[in-house]
Amino acid sequence: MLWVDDYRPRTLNELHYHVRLSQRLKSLAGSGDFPHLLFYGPSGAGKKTRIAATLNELFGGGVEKLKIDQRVFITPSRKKLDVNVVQSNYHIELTPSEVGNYDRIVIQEILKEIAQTQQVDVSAKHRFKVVVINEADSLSRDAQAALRRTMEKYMTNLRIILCANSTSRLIAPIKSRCLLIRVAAPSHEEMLTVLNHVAKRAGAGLLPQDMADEIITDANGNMRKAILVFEAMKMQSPDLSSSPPIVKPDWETYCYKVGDMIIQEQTPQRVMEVRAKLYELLSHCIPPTIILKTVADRVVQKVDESLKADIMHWAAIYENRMRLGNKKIYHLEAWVVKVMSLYKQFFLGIELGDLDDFI
Amino acid sequence: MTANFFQARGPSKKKTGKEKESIINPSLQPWVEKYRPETIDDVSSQEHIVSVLQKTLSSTNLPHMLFYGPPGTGKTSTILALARQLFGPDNFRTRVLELNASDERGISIVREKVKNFARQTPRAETVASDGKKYPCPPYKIIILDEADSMTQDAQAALRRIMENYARITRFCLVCNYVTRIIEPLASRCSKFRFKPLDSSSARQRLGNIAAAEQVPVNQAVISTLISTSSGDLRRAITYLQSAARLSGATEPPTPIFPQDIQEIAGVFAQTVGVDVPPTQSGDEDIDMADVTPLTVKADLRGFDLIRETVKLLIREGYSASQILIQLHDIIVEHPTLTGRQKSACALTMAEADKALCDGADDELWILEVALRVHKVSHPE
Amino acid sequence: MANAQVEAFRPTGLLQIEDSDIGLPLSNSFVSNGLLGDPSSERPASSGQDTLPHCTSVAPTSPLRPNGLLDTTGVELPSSAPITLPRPSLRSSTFDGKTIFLKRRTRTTGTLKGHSTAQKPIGSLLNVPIHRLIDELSATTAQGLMQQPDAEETLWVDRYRPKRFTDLLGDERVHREVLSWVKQWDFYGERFASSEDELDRPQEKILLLSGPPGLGKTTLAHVVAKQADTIDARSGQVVDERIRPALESGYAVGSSKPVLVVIDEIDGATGDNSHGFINKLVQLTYEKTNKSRGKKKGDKSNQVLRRPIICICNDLYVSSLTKLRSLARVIRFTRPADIHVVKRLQDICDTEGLRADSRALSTLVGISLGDLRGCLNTLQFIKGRSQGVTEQLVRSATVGMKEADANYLSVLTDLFCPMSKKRVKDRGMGEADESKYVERLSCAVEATGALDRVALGCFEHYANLHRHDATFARYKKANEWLVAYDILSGSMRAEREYGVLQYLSYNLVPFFPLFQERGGPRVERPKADWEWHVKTRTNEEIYKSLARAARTGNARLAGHFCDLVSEPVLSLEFAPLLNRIISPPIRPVNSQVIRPEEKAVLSRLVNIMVSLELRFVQERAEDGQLVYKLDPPVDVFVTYDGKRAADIAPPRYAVRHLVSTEINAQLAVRHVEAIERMKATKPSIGAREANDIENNSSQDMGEGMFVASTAADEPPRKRAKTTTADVDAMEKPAVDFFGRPIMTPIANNKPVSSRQQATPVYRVSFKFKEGNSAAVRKPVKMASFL
Repeated sequence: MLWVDDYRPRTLNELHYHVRLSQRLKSLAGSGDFPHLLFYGPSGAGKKTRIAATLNELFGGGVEKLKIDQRVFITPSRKKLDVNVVQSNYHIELTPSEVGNYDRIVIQEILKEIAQTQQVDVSAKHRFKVVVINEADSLSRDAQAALRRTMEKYMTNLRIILCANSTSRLIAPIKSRCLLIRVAAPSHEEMLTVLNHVAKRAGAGLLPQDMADEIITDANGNMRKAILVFEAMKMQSPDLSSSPPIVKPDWETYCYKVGDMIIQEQTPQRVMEVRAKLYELLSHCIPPTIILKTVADRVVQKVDESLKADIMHWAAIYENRMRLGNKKIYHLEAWVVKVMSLYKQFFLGIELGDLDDFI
Repeated sequence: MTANFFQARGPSKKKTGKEKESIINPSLQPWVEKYRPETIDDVSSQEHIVSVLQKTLSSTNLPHMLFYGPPGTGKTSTILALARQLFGPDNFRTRVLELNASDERGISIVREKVKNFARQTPRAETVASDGKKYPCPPYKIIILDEADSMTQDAQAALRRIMENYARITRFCLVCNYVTRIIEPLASRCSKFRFKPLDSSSARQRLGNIAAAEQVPVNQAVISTLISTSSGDLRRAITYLQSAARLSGATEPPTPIFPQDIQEIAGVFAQTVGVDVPPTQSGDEDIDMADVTPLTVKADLRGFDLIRETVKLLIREGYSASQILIQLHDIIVEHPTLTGRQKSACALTMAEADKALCDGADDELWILEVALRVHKVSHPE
Repeated sequence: MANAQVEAFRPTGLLQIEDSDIGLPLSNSFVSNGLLGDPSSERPASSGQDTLPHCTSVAPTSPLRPNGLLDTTGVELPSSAPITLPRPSLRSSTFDGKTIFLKRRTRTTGTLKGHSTAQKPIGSLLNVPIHRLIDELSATTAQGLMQQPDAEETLWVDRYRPKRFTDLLGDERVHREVLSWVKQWDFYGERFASSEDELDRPQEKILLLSGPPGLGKTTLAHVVAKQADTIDARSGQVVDERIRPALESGYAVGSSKPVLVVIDEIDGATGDNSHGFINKLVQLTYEKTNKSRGKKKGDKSNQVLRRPIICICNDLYVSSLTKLRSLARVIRFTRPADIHVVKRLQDICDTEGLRADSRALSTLVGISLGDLRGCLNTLQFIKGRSQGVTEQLVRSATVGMKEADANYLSVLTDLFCPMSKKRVKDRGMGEADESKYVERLSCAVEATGALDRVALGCFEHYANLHRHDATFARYKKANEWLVAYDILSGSMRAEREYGVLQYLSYNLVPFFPLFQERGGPRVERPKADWEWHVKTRTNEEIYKSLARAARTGNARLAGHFCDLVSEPVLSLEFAPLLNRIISPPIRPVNSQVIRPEEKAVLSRLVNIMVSLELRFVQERAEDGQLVYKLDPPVDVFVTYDGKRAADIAPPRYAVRHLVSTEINAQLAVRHVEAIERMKATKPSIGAREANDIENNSSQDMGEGMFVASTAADEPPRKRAKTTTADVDAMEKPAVDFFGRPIMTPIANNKPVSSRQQATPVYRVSFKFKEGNSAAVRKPVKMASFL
């Protein structure tokens, strides 16, 4: 019922941008020889929309008859895992990373099950079923290895569509078995077209140009976010011509606040305050990497040129360490302290330099 | 990278045959499998190894072997071809066991399989069904693929197994990194190093395949294939197949362009990158300008410029590891950078690669690399 | 016997307050009674100890009742010749330090079997300070024990375990509190608190004793209970299998005596899940509160918890005890004054024939931090080797003793403060030893076994210290170490490389050189992290329920919301923006007179909320005002630091009311629609009509059933209809050989409500109260009387 869902293109023909890509997908779906696919690209670029449209192209409207299951898997250690599975007669969609380290079991079980059931519907356009695996880049190594084996073993009954933000974390054998499909974020103009299209269909009247620009810049290539923001603004102030400020998610504003706090003052008390704020952010389930990136972005905007590179350097270092460790807050705070120290040193250095000049 | 991807061959093919799954439509069969060399003479550009193996073939006395080298250089193809030449098509299945170390991890499983396999004494039928004569020596061959991903314990256990069954089995270990094989195991084998394919033989091979599949390709496409796959023939063949699929799917079939290959490989189009006018003056501005597929706002400088460029790159959805590889190529071959600068850059990229393998954030690390490369190449 | 007990036990009879203008609360005086009421009757009996059944922790057959513990001695030997005691008024002090005088009642007590101690003039007993008495008592007991043949084979700890209340060492107030709590379970005693509980139980049904080891918690519990059915296994099953039957029947398994349950070392209870021990226990306590309120179900009331439970733990703040803590009365044990402990040890040494100077003993006590058990063990150990106890020996025998299982809080303190001079002396270290901190601290840190918590403690504490640090150098270092620690422990867990464990503690030691400071702020127990963790959990739950709601919405709406509810998108984009989408500025006016454009906004809002299964739920706030709250409360995601985002209009009651009614109306409409459609499909069932009609109706039916399975409020699915042509092939019902559709009999959509007109069964039950105390009360069926 939200715009972002209501006005989502359902078929490859309706897609607004990446026309060439749509053509390719269409021809792939049309040919008898449909490979495994790996869609990758930034968040909100339209990967899932394209996957859904491709499925539609492959099997027709039947793929939209969905049902939701909660499947239970049992690990060797007798732990129960619940996985939400969305499926139609032709495909099944799952997010194995929901269960963390046990994703291998889920992958194995589901794929085996699908591979061993033949398509019963004789009128189906294709003999195979499609398994859509979301967030493929957060699959564990084991799960990827398991996937790799099944991908070729069950080629007759099964096609896999992987959806990932980045291919860096996928092992090479998987990448070489799939046809890689890059979905780049839409450009400014493309986003503008889409926003106008949504505005028209929703009957929201004309979207003022400057506001649209602002929304698009803010969304940074994330179409979904842009439409959500647009709808939020429309709901908040039905009269858009008065150019209300761009709606920003709260965590973002909050992260900026944290960044400002780091710059304003560098004392132990401030460390404690920042820590409380970071905890608050973490408790809202904001991924720590996003917190670090957003705060770093803000800090970098405010400091001297010579510090910027260092700050980003440490952000990268601590982000990496954070992945290896358990307690995210340690790493976040370590970075904060580091930045405070850098900033302080920088200022002391400048003051000393000034003194030197005077003398 | 691992040496054999496709399991539907050799003994495992037989197994899947039982499960009625081997009826693979030839058009679906990966070309990598389809065009695997039949004899060791067909193996591309490993002349030295081929000549050594020819000798062993004539004397039918095979030592334990350890094949190592970068992925896609023909290690698995070589051993399979050799085995086929030794045993002929009939005995091939009973005499060769192929184990993929990453699938059957536990040493207990490996031991079990090897034991069971080695226990059956080989029978010699020298005349095969196709009328040819095969040497068919009285031993079996066990191929351990991806041996470098076996645990230390598994390798240690293997040592004993190798000795126990030495009379009737020969082992062939296939791996990418010889350093990951424990010394006692390596010393039991005669080692063969496979070197990356030189472009002319790769070119020839690709040309042959394209001709056999009736895919119209020109030299530019083949060059792109070779450059994007960096010596890995399997990758090149896979790319070619994907490209053929995409082009053949449209009506009428469109010819393949180098850009298609680049798109499939996830490489940014080199042409775009070159077209971009240097955003800053001076030769040493290699950092981002060369890999930037898009123009950025001209009024940005220094940090902001790099930041903006990285953002755009990420928006385009390129994978960080790919960016690293390409940046690396540019820097290594850069004309004006000093050796010291280059090594500093290489260090940074190594760190970034490690971080990316650990699952770090793409954007942060690409930015990190860009900043450090920039710093190194602008010594003020 | 029962009568005799009642007689002997009536507390008021024993106690008179002479100084009547001191209006003492009865509970106080009662307790005094319990403790001091009849020392005369207590003391002599000590010699008769052997005749008393032993209080053993695993002997459920022990015949004594918990509440009768003070009296049993009195009535135990009724056949002895009665003697009359002298009756001076007794002076005693109450909890709050007031002095009261206790008048003795003439009564008889059991005579004694000719022990020399019994010959002492009893009346002068209270001239002697109580602790001296206690010491004497222990000495006599020890003497008695000395004569036992198997004396050498028992541990001293067991041999000198106090058997009687007066033998206990430590804070007497604590002991009294425990006793009085047990007493509150007594039915026939006075009503001390105007308890609202109809079963006259104390407010807290569980007593939780906590304190460091070796201070006598278990001993106290056993002494107080005398009858202790100690249950060792600590899993959820045990509660069901042993405790519950014990509590319900009032008797331990295989015993005819009433039960008081002592659960020792409850902090080691296993299972954090709902089947865990603690949860079962908590459930047990809750059960009764619910059930006793709903007393009408008389036959169930026997599940009520009516026996006291005493739990014992070392660490009160173990996470598994969180739930219990709030329910139980918590009593903390503290270390008894060293001098008393030394005295007791001295006595024991004397009886054991071990020469000991008090200096050596006080060193021992200092090292063991008052752990009596540890002291006794050490002494016994020394006894095995030599005849005398010297400081030297003590030191050599106690190397690493107490430090080995130091509590992590004290280790934390050590990390941030240098050792006090006294402790340096205690441990016999020189200057050089003191400066070698790495070894000492890393051992101590490792010994806690709670490395993560120590790390957390370091993390939460270091920024509290206000030492000047111009460039944050120390902070940076500290954080580096923490990060290193975290990465190490993280990889240890992830890859199961437990070889790394031995290096972990060294990562925390650097906090000492970095931050050590005398008289800095006290190290607190790290709790912030836990609080945030709890908060995170709650928020995660809310996310999950939002995602679930959206997903079910997704099922009905064919693919909507699919990618909105996946993990990062949900928290980063969907949740915050959704909040803005659902709070448009609507004027609180009647929906009839609303302006058309506002009406559009309203209906859209209602649509969105219905499809996401968001509701406004009416609740009463603390100040009694009615408010509408979002359910699930997704507005937490725009609430940071307790404040809602500024750009969202504050929720107004009237607006939400309006929206809520609209939502309900909408739901009702959908519901009706769904029912209508179901009705429409019904007549076609079983009818053999033309194929095409059949086709349509069965399709409808399929939808109808589908609706029934998902909350029954689905709008007609246009999309499905429009694509009918495409999907016709698969939607076609199965046909038999002649082309007739095969109708599978469909289970009736509305199962006939199986309300049977069964006549209500009235059951008659009688309650028979047997015995005199809470310990014996059980429901008895009429049949047992007939």
